[in-house]
Amino acid sequence: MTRFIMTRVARAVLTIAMVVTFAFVVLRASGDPARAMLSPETSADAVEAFRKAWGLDAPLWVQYVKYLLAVVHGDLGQSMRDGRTAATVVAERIPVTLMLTAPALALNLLLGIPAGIYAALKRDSFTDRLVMMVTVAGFTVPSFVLGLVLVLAFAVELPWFPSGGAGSVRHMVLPVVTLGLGGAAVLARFTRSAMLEVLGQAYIRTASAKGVPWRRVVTGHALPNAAIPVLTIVGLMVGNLIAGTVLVESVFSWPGIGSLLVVSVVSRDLAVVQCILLLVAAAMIATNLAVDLLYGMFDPRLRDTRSAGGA
Amino acid sequence: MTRSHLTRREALTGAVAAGLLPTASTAWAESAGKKPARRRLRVGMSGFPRTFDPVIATDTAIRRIMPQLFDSLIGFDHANGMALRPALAERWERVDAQSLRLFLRKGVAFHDGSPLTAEDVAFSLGPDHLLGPGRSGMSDALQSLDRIDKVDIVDPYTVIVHAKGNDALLEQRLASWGAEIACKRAFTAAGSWERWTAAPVGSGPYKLVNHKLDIHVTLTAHDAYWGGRPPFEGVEYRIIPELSARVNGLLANELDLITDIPPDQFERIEKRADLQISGGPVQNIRSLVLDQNDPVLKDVRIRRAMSLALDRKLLIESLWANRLPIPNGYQLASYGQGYIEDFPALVYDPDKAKELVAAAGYKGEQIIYRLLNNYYPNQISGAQTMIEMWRAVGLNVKIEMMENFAQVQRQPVRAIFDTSNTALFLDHLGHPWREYGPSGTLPKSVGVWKNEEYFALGAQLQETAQPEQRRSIVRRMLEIINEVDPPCVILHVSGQFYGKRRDVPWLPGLTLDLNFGPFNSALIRT
Repeated sequence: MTRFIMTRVARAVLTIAMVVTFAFVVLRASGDPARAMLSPETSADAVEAFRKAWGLDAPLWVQYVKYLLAVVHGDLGQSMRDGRTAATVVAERIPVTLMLTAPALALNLLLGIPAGIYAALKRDSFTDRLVMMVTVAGFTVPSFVLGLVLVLAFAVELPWFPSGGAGSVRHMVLPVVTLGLGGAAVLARFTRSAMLEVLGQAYIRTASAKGVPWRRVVTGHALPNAAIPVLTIVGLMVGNLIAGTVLVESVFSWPGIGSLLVVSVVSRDLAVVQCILLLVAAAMIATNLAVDLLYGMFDPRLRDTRSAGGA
Repeated sequence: MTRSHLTRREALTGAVAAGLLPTASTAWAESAGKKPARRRLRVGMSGFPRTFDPVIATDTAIRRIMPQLFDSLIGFDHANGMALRPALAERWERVDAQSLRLFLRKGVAFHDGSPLTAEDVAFSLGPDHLLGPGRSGMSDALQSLDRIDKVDIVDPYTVIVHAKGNDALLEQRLASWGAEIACKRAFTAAGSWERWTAAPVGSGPYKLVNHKLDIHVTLTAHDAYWGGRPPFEGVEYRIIPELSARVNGLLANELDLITDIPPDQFERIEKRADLQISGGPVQNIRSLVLDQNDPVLKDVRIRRAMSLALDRKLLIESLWANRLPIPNGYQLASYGQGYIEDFPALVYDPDKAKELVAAAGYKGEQIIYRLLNNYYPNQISGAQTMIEMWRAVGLNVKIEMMENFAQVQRQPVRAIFDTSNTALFLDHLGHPWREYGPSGTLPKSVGVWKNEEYFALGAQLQETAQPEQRRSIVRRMLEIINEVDPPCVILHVSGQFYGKRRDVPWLPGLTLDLNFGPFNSALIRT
């Protein structure tokens, strides 16, 4: 198990290093950051002074080495737009995004998984078809379209909720519903498929034939086995908690990490973009690691393999 | 001492404005006596300002806030064709062709309560402020104020501003972006540019309360404002980059005013009885830059043909609801004495364009159009329309989409691209010269055009004070831009449109500035 975790940590560090390098090169190769940051009417002298002030006049490899050394020492740089450290700018947005994504994830799980299980258990019934019809609509309608429709209906026509911004529970309702419905639809379809596959297995038939009550067959045998593919999807959703809400944050002017990332990429606020990508990579890697470990809990075969030294 | 060159127009303007200001102030003072309830203005704005000091940059987001925080010595009267008006200087007079004596208004209080004196003026227009952090030159203000040599303090309420040479535009420069007066004491107390720009102290009608990156900027009324009680209790700028979110915020009554509204949203807003669209042309010209180093575009006949092929009237009617004017040459009517009224209008002549294309021996070589995704309103639809107009005269222009200006201006350019240029002050030197002069962005940083005759004429114009001589020089400079060696295709005067609640007493000005103070045209008229 220790070797498994060590291998994963080593891979994680390598992945993060690759992400950091990729972001560093792409952000600079896609146009002069000083010109992207400053207004097109900025004088040539002011642009030059800006480059010098932020070290953008140094050769790329010098900038890269400086950046890597700083990162190793925990310095993620300063925001060129704000003057504060990139870590500070990003850190104050994390809770704001989590205020949106955590309830949305709960909605995903609370709606999606039960709906998927129920549809699978009632396969080919009217309820199954209804659930699937709703879920198809749920994941085919883009989140920004759903968001705009909700705003027009419940903020503009019926002034029940604010159209955008953050600051109260009322501000959270429409974006959380937008994120929650889309995710729940995806989860419901995956859960249904996983359940149907498991319910068709021989061991389920055997358990039923032996007279095990259906409720116990479902909870004791079907659900744990169906949980593994569902866990993969949930893992991705958790990994997206930090920066997977770019569109919804834009539609609702929600001041989270997603909207910060968009503005920072457009204006080439290099340190902030790199800091966010680092954070997202770390979140994804941590989630994947956690999901891998959870696989072992649900599937003893994987646990045994790892205990034997496999990765 | 040389006789003052104050013109009749300037004298009249000054007199009218000087008479008007106390009236407006008195009206507001009366209002202040009654202390009527004021609303807090909620503004939905598309971008966050990257600084809160007026000299460092002149980005649109910054300019939408600066008039609230700072005043300059001389102002532009937006309701009166951008004539000069007294502001922190209650009057001024020419000492000679390169110097201007200004008499400061007494009783002006900065936001921290300290009084405005000549020390503040000398500091604000001096190198410690104008050259930006560490005197690095990281300052857009230098584009208009680099001609200022020094400021002499005569007494606490009188200064003399000296230009580096003869300068007929000194008054204009002191009214331009970046010439705002900051509080020297507060700047010194801040100890660093970072701390200063986070909490600047000016004398404007509102003071900064707080701001949060990409979220909001909150101002509160500066009730000791020299111009009278500000009409709003405060101003809250909410940063909403997404157009639909801004419009929805206005429709849901969560915002009083929203910026950057393209014409396709006018109907949606105006069908609500309590809302309206405000705005129109501003002191800015939209154009297409042509790289004269491109093998095709180096032929002046092709550049002229590109201009002649454009039916600008049709473009304005279809894309701008016919709300924007087409200038006659690279100039604005508000230039005053520097405006050449009889300069020829931009012509739509596809037959002539075809002749020029044929005479140039053009064989259908591709002309690249580096295009941004609606950085300017209607940019994509405008580009697609123009491509067809060029095709009609035989020009083969191909769009290449770019993400930002760094990519658009990456060298070698060998292409055409969109730009817009604001008149920092109302003269050829404050407008096209800033872009196409030897220190301008296009010749110096991007390297797409140079014309020695134009450069020499501009240098001559800077030192020329006599109006008729200036007009003659300007006329030739306009001819070079328009006909002789065009660096660009002029499209139209830019527009700025806002959605607002009808009951908000505010009118837009003729620049990108938003002014919510007591001198807004809507309040002076009532």
